[in-house]
Amino acid sequence: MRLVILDDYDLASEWAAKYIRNRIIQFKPTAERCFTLGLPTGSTPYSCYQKLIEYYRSGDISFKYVKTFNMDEYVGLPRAHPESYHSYMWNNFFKHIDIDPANVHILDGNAEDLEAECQAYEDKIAEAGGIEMFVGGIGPDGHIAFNEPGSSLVSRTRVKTLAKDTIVANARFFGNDLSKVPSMALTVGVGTVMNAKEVVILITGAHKAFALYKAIEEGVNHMWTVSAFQQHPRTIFVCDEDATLELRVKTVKYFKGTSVLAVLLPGLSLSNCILCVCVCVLDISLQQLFQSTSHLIGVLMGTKRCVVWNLGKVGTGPTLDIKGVCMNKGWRCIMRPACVCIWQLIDCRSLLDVGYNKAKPCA
Amino acid sequence: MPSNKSVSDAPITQFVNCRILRGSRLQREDLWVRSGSILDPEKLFFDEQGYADDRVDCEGSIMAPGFIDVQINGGYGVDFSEASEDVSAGVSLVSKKILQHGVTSFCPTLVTSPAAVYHKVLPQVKVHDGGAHGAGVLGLHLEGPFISAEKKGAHPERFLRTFQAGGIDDLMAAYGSLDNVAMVTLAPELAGSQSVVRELCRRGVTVSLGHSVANLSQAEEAVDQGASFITHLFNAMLPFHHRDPGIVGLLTSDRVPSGRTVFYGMIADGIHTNPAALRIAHRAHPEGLVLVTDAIMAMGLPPGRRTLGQQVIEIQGLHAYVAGTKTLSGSIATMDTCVRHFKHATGCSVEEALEAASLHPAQLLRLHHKGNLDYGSDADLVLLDDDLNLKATFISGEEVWKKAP
Repeated sequence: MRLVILDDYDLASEWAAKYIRNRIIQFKPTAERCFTLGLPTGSTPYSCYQKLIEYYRSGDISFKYVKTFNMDEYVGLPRAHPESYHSYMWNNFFKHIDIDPANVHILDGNAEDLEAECQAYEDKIAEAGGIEMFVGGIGPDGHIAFNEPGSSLVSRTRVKTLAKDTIVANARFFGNDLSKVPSMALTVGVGTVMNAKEVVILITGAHKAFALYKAIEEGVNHMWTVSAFQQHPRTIFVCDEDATLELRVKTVKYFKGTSVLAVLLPGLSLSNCILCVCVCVLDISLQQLFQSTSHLIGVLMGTKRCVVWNLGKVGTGPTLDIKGVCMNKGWRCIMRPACVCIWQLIDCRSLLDVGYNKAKPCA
Repeated sequence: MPSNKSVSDAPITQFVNCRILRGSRLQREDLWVRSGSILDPEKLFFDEQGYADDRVDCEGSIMAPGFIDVQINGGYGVDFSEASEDVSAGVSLVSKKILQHGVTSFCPTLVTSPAAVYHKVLPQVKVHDGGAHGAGVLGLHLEGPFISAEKKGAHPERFLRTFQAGGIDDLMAAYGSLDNVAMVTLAPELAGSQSVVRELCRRGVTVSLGHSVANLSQAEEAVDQGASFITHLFNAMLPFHHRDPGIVGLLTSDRVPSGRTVFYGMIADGIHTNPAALRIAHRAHPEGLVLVTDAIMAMGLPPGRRTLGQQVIEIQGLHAYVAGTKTLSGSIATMDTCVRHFKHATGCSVEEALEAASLHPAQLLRLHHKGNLDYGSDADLVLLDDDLNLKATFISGEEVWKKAP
């Protein structure tokens, strides 16, 4: 798994939103081949949704061919109730973007036959070709969606009774009156989320720190259902500093060291030929990396070990779709300026291996 | 988005980039309209999987419910109290013209007139919806003839009446019919008025107190019987006195039955009421304030001498007097001017100023689908800039007036 640690909640949300945005853009969804996205609710992803709306408004992304499947919904709460997850998704996301309502799927907590509703939901996911990326959060008790402690790690979409911890955590949305919080919910199962091609878990805040510790530093355990993702081939945990408070320093250092962030400063365009690259490297002076570097522009987001480079003028080379740059493991060689090449970076370790004193032509 | 027609035949319009007045606050929300009503977009999204067919960019304007004028005697040369052969043509002309003042519904008002005039005019004015042809007619406002001689104002004394038999017979004798009548203004100190008030309320007609020398208890008695409005507060009634506040005292009376509100009309043209008096009324009872124009036929016309009902009046600048006197005979201010002046004079919020011209008159007339932008309400809207100048008027979601660029 990858653990991406950002300084604070806003930066973590921005990172996650950019990641989602870039993956959708890379996928190039069409009417025949939609990008299926699993979505969470709650206070954690709120800022991430705000960012995605921003990217839609600035024209970076369209949700026209994106299909969404929400994780859960309360049972028995009227759909128009301000605390229902339908209301949450409408007010905080769907009403601001260009998603096709026919592509939106949320479990119906007021269905006549709840079990049939759950089965139908699984069928719809299968019909859509499975989930490409499932975005989720984590409860203070380590649950994913409403898979409370004790849920089977191979469970499917079903009705669940909510744990006391969850009801207490949610009471703040119901005027702190525990009796008003619904006691049951429909939720995707751990198995359902495990079937997704990629899983992104957002964890922010000190109150989630212990759950994160249990999820990644201890074993796979149905009492901390999010630990199941230790066995998923492609999981990213995006968190802020506070959420790492219960982790070992060794774990945190390891993951901070291997993260590579590519961030493009807004407002700069190709036409003035300044490409800014932000790289986080452990104790390596990037001055040594490129011989023809100009000057350091500044320090950017992330772990305060990032630097921005002015790399000089662009010569002839392939045109770049800046928006399509992948933030994932590194970034491809995108142009050949007259004097400097930009490396394909797998991670910083390979940077060390390559011998960074000389600029090398890219493969 | 592909065509939406499979969801519903009626096109769905989404007004974006506006601040709408909802829940007494200006909120940054889109407004959705279908078939002349305001639509709940969340229901549309989840229940019908529908979306907008057209988008209207409001460019950051304020969107408020259309204004409702419950006291307007005419305008643009038309006098509703004049017994012409074609009254409806006059009403239509005014209804079209007031769209540019943001008025989407109104009550054509008749001042004290002889029975013959009522019998001729009333059958020609019908309640009907507004549209591109003009603002909607909510019903007539009959101001008089059952009013006090001492407070007749500009009303002709010879046509004043009192209650003889009491009850509905007097009304029928005077008016002929109560169909299409939304409101009647009378003086509650007249003998026999109690049963009249009761009868009118029973028939769904709003009863207003005005042109009266009633004391507070007489006024409270009338409110008990169902009266719910005060015609142009302060004007044509006894002045406030600290031992007998008169009709003005209704604003803070503790004898108003619970759950009921006494509304009061204010002509906020800067002339009929001193701004300090306007502020006193507003601060004492803000939820009851209803902005009215009490506009006369000269509204919209250049200065000079004109006829109002059975009298001659003189226009000097923004003032309109009974010819040869200093008695005010009505105003020539427009509704949007009144809204702006009201906000300026009282220092109230934009929301309060707009509600005084839309929500409160709708509440007075018990029209739940007007005067607000709630889901299911009629899409009668006005677009305004931050200084409350009108930019466009809509009725049932259709643009019926737009400010020339």
